[in-house]
Formats: sequence, C-alpha cells, structure tokens
Amino acid sequence: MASAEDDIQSRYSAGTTRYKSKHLISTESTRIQTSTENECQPFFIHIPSLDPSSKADLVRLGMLKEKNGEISPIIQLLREKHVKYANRPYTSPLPGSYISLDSSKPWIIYWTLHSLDLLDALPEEEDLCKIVSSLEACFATIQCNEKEGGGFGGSNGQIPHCATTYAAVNALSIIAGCSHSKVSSMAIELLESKRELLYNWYLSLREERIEDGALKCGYRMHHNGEVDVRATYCVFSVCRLLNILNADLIKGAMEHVVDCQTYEGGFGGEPFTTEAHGGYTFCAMAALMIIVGYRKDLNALSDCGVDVDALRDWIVYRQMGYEGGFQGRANKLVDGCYSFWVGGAVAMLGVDMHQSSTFRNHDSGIYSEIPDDIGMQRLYDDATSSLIDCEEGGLLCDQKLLQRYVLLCAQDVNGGLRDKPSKPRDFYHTCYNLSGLSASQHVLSSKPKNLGKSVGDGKLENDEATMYENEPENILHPTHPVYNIRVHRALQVISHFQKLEQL
Amino acid sequence: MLLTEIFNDITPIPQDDGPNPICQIDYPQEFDMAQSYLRAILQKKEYSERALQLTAYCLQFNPANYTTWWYRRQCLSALSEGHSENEYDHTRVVKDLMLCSKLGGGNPKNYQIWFHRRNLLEYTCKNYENGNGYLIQEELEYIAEVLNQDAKNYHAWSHRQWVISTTNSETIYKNELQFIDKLLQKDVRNNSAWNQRWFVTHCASKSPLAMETAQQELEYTLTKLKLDAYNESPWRYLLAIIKEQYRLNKNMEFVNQVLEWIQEVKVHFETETKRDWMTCIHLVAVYIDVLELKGDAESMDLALEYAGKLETVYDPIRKKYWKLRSSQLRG
Repeated sequence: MASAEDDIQSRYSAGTTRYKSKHLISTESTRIQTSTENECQPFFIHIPSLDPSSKADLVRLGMLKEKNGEISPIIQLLREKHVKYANRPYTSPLPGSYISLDSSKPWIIYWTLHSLDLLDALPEEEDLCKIVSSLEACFATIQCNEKEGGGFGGSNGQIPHCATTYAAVNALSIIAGCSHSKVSSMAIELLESKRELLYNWYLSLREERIEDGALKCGYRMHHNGEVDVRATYCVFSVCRLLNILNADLIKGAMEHVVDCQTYEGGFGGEPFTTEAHGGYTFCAMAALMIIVGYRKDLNALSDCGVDVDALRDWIVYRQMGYEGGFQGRANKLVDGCYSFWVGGAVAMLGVDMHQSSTFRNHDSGIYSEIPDDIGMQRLYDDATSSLIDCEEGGLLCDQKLLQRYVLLCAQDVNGGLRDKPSKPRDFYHTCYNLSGLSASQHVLSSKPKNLGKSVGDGKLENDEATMYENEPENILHPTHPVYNIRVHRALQVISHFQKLEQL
Repeated sequence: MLLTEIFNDITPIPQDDGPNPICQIDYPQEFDMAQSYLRAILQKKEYSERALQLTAYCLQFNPANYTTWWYRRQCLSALSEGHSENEYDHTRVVKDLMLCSKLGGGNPKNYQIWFHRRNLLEYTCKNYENGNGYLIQEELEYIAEVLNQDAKNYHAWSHRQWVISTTNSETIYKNELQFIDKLLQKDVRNNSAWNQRWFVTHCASKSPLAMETAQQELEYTLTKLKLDAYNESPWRYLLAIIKEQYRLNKNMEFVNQVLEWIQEVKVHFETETKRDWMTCIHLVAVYIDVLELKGDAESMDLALEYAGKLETVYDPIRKKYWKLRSSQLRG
C-alpha cells in the first residue's frame, strides 16, 4: 500500500546520501562533517521496510506506536519521557556535576518549564508556587540601593544578570498564564512589583557611544560585565512583555544591533568584528522585531537598515542538506539547539517578509493600526496568503527535514533531547529542540484556531500544523518566535501589562 | 591554612533558597563553606587580599559564577593604585591573566573568563604606545594557542578581535594577515579565519575596501576556490567583496571581470573533477547573484535557468527559497 506517508519516507530516507556534503580536499572541518553525517545515517532508516523485530524494538522504546495490533511506521515524539526528564529539577536535587549551573537557576527553570508548557504538561500548582518563590529569591537590588534598580540573578545572593532576568521573566510569564488562579496571580504580582526596579536597572546597563555622529548603544549583561547583542535582546524581550519599553531604552539600540550584521549576512555578537552566528542572529533579529513593533515609523527589518536579502541568504544556507537540522555558522556542524536559534530566525524572517510585502501592497497603511505585537496574530490568520507555497509550510526552509532531525537524531530514547546522537541530553537542548519543532510546525502554517483568545490548557491550539509525518500526537503548542514562550502566554502577559500605566 | 582560620572574624552566611527550594544542587562541602564565607565578606564589602584569594578558590569550583568575578574585579580595583577605569597594578594583571589561563584550560567556552581577560587588558590596549605592549603580544600568542586547540572557538576569536581593534596598531593588523593565511592553509574551511580576514582588511569599520585591495582579496579568494569550490566560506567572502565594490561605483566592467573569474573557477572545477558543476551549489548560487547584478535580459534568463535547476534537481532542501528567488528574478 503506497500511502502519502510512504512517499515522504522514501523521499527523505532512501537515496538522500546524494545530498551529503562534498569536498575536494580533506581538512579538519570536512573530517568532522563526514563523521557527523555517518553518525546520523543509521537514524534515517526507511521504517516500512524494517524487519518485524527491529520494529518491535522501536515500539518498545516508544519511537513507534502500535494501534490495533498494527505497528504504525510514524516516528513518535516521546512526550511522556520528555515530560519526566523536564520534571527532574522539581522532583529531586540535581547532582554535584550541575555546579556550573549554580549561577543559572532561572535558566534551568525556564528551559524545563517552557519544554513542559510546549508539551502541555506544566507541573502541579504546588510546584509552580515553589518555582515562583525560588525565582523571587533570585531577585537582587544593586548594592541594596532601590534607586539603582535590580533584576534576577543566577541564584540567591548573586548580582542581577540580563540573561537570568530574561529566563526568570519568561518563566513567570508562563506561570502567569496557567490555569491555576492562585499561582498565576502570585506570578503576576511578582512581575508587577519589579517593573520599576527592572526599568531603572536596565537604564544603568546602557553603554552609549557616538559614532559617525550617531548615538549607538549596547547593553551590558550585568554591571561591569560584557556587552553583546544577547543583552539587547534579553532587555527588550522583558521590557516588551512588561510594557516598560520606552524611547529612553530604545535610543541608539537599533543602530548598535544593525552594526552587528556581518559581510556574510548573519549577525555576530559585537559590531564590525565577530563572525555571523545563529544565536546572535536570533537575538539581533528578535531585538529589531521588538523595535519595529514599538516604533510607528518602522514597518520591517529593512527599515532598520538591515540588508534583508543577505540575511535571508545566510539563514537559508544554515540548513544541512543531508542532516536536515541547522548549523550555527558556515562550515560548522549541525546542532539541535539551532533548530530554534536558526529556526526562530527563519520564522521571524517569514513574518518580516510577509509584513513588508503586505505594507508594499497596502500603501493606505491600514495595517499600521494592528496592535504592535509584531503582527503575530495576523500572521497566523493570513498564513495562507504567505509568499511561499504553503503546502509544506510557509517558512524559507525545509520544515519537514528539520522536524525529522529533531525527531530522529535529537531525541534521547530515555527522555530529553540533545545536540546530536553522540552528545548527552540536557535541559538546554531539550528546550531549544522542542521550541524549534514548535516554530516549524506552526509559524506561517495554515490557520491555527483561537490563537490570541483564551484556550483551555488541556487543548492543543492547532489542528493544521506543518508536519514531517501526519501524527497529531507530535504537535506541540505554538511558540512565539520572538520571546520563545507560547504565543498564547506572550499575548496574555502583553495584554495584561498594557492595561497598566507605562512607567 | 584553613578557611575557618583565615576568616575567624567572619560568620559565614549559608545559601538561602527560600522556604520551598527547587533546583537544588548537591554542592561539594568545601565549596559550600567557601561560598558561605564569600557571601559574608561580600556583604561587608571587604576588599582585601584574603578576599581575592577566596574568590580564586571559589572560581575553581564554578568559573561561571559572574558575581564572584565581579567582586574580584572590585577587589582588584580597590587594591590597585591606578586612577583610570580598569587600571590595575601591573603585577596583579599578570597574576590574574595566569589565573584565567589556568581556569580557561578546561572551560574554553566560558563567557566570564574571557571577559575578565578583556577587563584586565583594557587599560593596556588603550595605552598601547606607552605601556606594557609586550602583554598584547603575549595575549595574541595565548589566543593563538587556544585556537590551535579549537580553530573556531567563538570566544577566542571575539577576544582577539577586541584586542586588535582596541589596540588599533597598524603593525598588529598587518601581521594578522599572515596568521590568518597560516590557518587557512591548515583548514581552508575555517570560516572564523575568513571572518577575521574581513575584519582585518576593513580595520573593524564599514568603509569599503579601496579598489586595489578589493582586487587583491578577490585574487586571494580565487586561489582558495580553486582548491575546493564546494567550500562555502570563500564564496561568501567573494560575493561580499563584489557587492561592496558594486554598491560603491556600479562598475559594469568590474562585474564582467568577476563573471569571467567565476567562469574560470567553473572550468577549473570541471576539468579537475570531471563532475557536473551544478553539484557545486555555492558556485551556482554566487553565479546567479552576479548575473543578477549584471541585470541584462540574457543574464537574467541564465540566472533563472540555474535557479530552476537548483530548485528541482540539485538543492531541493532549499526548494522554497529557489522558488522565491526565481519569482524575484522574473521581476
């Protein structure tokens, strides 16, 4: 029986070795590339033609499902195992080897909580309450001086840090939107009570300079800490969610970020020097998307001074012809975490292209009145009119091949996800593989239902996702490509704080 | 000496994770105790030699603790005689660079350690002409050693770029080109080295290259492309140099010359390998881009034909991208 699934499987498994990387001279780069492809190859099997005992093994591992005595050849997302793994920080103490994460506790919380949220499996209210109070214990003011503001640090007793603050605010936003009213209002109250402190602290992290007669401004990660484009993103994401973004914070930031675009087209961490990189490209684009949303005079990334064609070209070449996942830089190896860093960039690129073409076609400006959440709501609604053929998703990458990489190569059969088959699972890779999977299923996909409206926690928000194989149980909740929490959570938090006065 | 003796006047403050702790880590006992003393003297704002020692001890356990580094710098600053920002005593700079190298060995991708080096050297870099210039040379050698272990370490490269651009010495910029060439001889796919080449030829600015330098760079890139035309890095470099010059003067003669060069690479590739040049997708892609710059009807038709082949046969993973490019080429 030749089903549609068989078609996809044969297209993606048999004969794809012709898309393996090619080289004429062998160097360190080509050697490790070749061994990575070889490491992935055993996972790209043609399931329908497997012998029964191999199929039974895969059923036992949970990778295949048995229905009415018949084995379905569709690879499963190991939901329950991932849920169990992501619950580890809430069930037992972490071993001493986690000591380096002692300064990243809000990160552990965000990575695991967002993973659970995408899987529709947030912890019980009691655990969520513990999370809120643990995050509260991470909050610190500068030199105990309230005027200078404060933020969330890595754990109790540490100075505030932009990255851990971003993680903490995202985690609290997730909890704020959950269905348990008690812990939800705890989270909201905590966020509300810190708005002014955060704002003042962010002002103190500004690193202004005048260049070619223009004001440019980067942000420090913490006092007397490094300046790079991660900080700008972390600051703006938090400010946008909590409605504390204003002209004083935005001044010079766009000019600084735009200078980080390199000759390759992607963005590096610092102006005019560093190499184009998936992580920094994500941060730069997301920061600019937030600025575009805030400033009424800008409609798209190109208005900021970004060379969007070069950016687009750099992004599309990050997808590996054979593995299907993304690399973070040219001539580097595939890594599951870039499923989101580059996958999110592809998603924002789609949003941006869509937005700018809409503006071009509607010079009456009717769209400028749309609430400034990067037009996300409209994007989902309008997805069918995307510039690109929607049959396989509206993003400028092969969404199915990306999903195949996540499902086949990045899943650990014991739960959790990883960089590549030879690497161990961890919370970070679990979060970003799942986030990438979600973005590639939903962004610019056709018409998810009720995105901005309240949707019960138990119900999946989408029934028309773009998928590698048609398996409704593999569908995750849609993540917002700018903030990387569920679209629904982001819109809820934004609308809550929009009702409050701007500082 | 024991911690309890060195700090016999201090009451340690234990970690307080609130009444309902989660994400607890089973700390080694020595670390837990040292960290408790650190919390206590940090709260007292004690800037002393023993505080410096304690931070070094704690950092061995967790070099990612940015608060400990931050406090260490405050101590360095308070104990140094310099008046400018980040001007620490020379002996302290040397000692801390050693500490960083020691901690960095097993943590080559730790943000904090690299930033500490930057902070230590900021004053020296900014006063290169009349200061301890040898430190800068030593620093570049240290980074070269790290890159010898991992030629694409992003932190090491960022640090190197910072040292060179902050010092802003013509000789250092010049010598860097040889360093890059050595790395590219070793691995022509080292994209970080290609990026460094752009950084050095442009001296960390966005001013376009002079025509003469651009020609030299194109010739250099062509020799690397003839080694291996499948390599993406030189193609991106080439295309960026071309576009930069084109934006500057819209010089058609230049575009025609570039097209000839690309043809040359194509022919070279075909004779050397006896393979279909269309399998070399970066070659085809750059060819399409330059044909588009030329812009006459004939070139556009050719570009369209190639884009179609990439879409359907040679680069199907980017099929949607090629479809979009084709529609743009059609105008």
